[in-house]
Amino acid sequence: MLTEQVIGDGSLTGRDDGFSFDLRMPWYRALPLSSVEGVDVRIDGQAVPSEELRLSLNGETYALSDLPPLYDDWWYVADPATVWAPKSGGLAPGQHELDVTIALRIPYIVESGHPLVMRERCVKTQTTNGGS
Amino acid sequence: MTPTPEGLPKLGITLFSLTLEMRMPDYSLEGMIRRVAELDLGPGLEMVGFQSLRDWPRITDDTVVGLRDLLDECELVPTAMSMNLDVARRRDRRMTEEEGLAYLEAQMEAAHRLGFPIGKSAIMATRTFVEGLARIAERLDMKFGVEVHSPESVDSPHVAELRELFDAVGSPALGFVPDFSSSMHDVPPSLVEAHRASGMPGELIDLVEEVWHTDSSMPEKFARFREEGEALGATPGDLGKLNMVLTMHGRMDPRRWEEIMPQVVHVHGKFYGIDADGNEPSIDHETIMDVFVQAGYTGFISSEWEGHAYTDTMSGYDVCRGQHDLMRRLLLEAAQRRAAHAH
Repeated sequence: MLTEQVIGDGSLTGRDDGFSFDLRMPWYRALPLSSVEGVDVRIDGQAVPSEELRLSLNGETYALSDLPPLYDDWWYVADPATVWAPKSGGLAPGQHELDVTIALRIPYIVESGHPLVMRERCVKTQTTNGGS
Repeated sequence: MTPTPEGLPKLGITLFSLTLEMRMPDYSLEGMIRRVAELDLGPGLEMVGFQSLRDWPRITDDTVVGLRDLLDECELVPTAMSMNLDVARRRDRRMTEEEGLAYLEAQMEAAHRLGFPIGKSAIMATRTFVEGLARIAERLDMKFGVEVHSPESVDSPHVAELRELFDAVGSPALGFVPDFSSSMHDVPPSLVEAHRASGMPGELIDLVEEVWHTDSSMPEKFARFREEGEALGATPGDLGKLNMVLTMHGRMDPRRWEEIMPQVVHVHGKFYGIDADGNEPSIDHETIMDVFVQAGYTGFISSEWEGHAYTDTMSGYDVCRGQHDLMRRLLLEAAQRRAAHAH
């Protein structure tokens, strides 16, 4: 059920060099930022290279590759992270299909020597907010 | 709050039951606790530190004073604080025993400041760890419980190992937290409905239910479900989702909770739904309440609704209210049986 909330409703915002949206955690408790093992974003069927994504949380902005060592920085369960995705030509105002998959390591559930990794996919068609 | 009579188990709730309610735009912890009190879902209040409290366990004095005052005002009693041992929080290596103890010690101290008398979490099953944990709990005059949750049971290898360690260490501060998920007699109908509604093929749901009801071991069940499921055309995604049916719901005879009752420090009243007759269709609450009453257990049972993992069609508040009514009635009946037997 939390999976359906991974993309924040009404959060897709277009700009002339890309777009942003709210990413919400599909787990019931706060997790360290080192738990974010991957984020895949597709807009209207087109993949955004993961290394170009930026994730803003707690007043900081990170590339996904910044996250693995951050085991003592926390993503609180009630706080959406803002994801910024560059897109050449920007995102035209109107309806777009946003397809997001997040891979989250659950650091207290280790099965057969491997931590559980939840992969949750959320697809929503949203109309862009304003933009600038 | 309406307490159960003296000498019986006490009722309460864990705010984990309200996981979806926590995502509502108007959510506040204070508002949620006030609603719990209005619906008489206490007197016991349990929460998950990493869920309900920002910056857990580094909580401020303002948080401590605010929460203590609120619980007093609402006539709610702090019961257990659910903690986590995040052994895999580092990508490069696992937590050491020493780091694990420090991790839980910080959470026990935060729980203590908030007035919670019990901490609960998974732990490392070693002598050093259990001894360290006993020292922490004893120093804070608290208890610490390890949950016995499906797929574990009172004598599964991990729990058997912990029972031996607890006996060897001999600290009165350490014990167990039975979770009803270990002792179920059916797959929850609400879960079956949710899978059907999501478009899961009916023959796969029927298969997993059939495999669930067999007496074979967990690895044997996984293997049989995979083999017969693949023959029916199940995708890896289907198998992953339905494997959860096998892991999250155990078939232990509920009478077997008797074996660990002397070491029970708290209880998780896990449940998945309440039917039109007021019963839980997959968990034999009558037998479980009877076991607790006969054993003389007077600690708390937290209502722990987990249906929110697969459905948003029910209010966590309402289903917990239904389970409280059921448990209260069954506790009183079990107490009458105990009294009649004594005469």
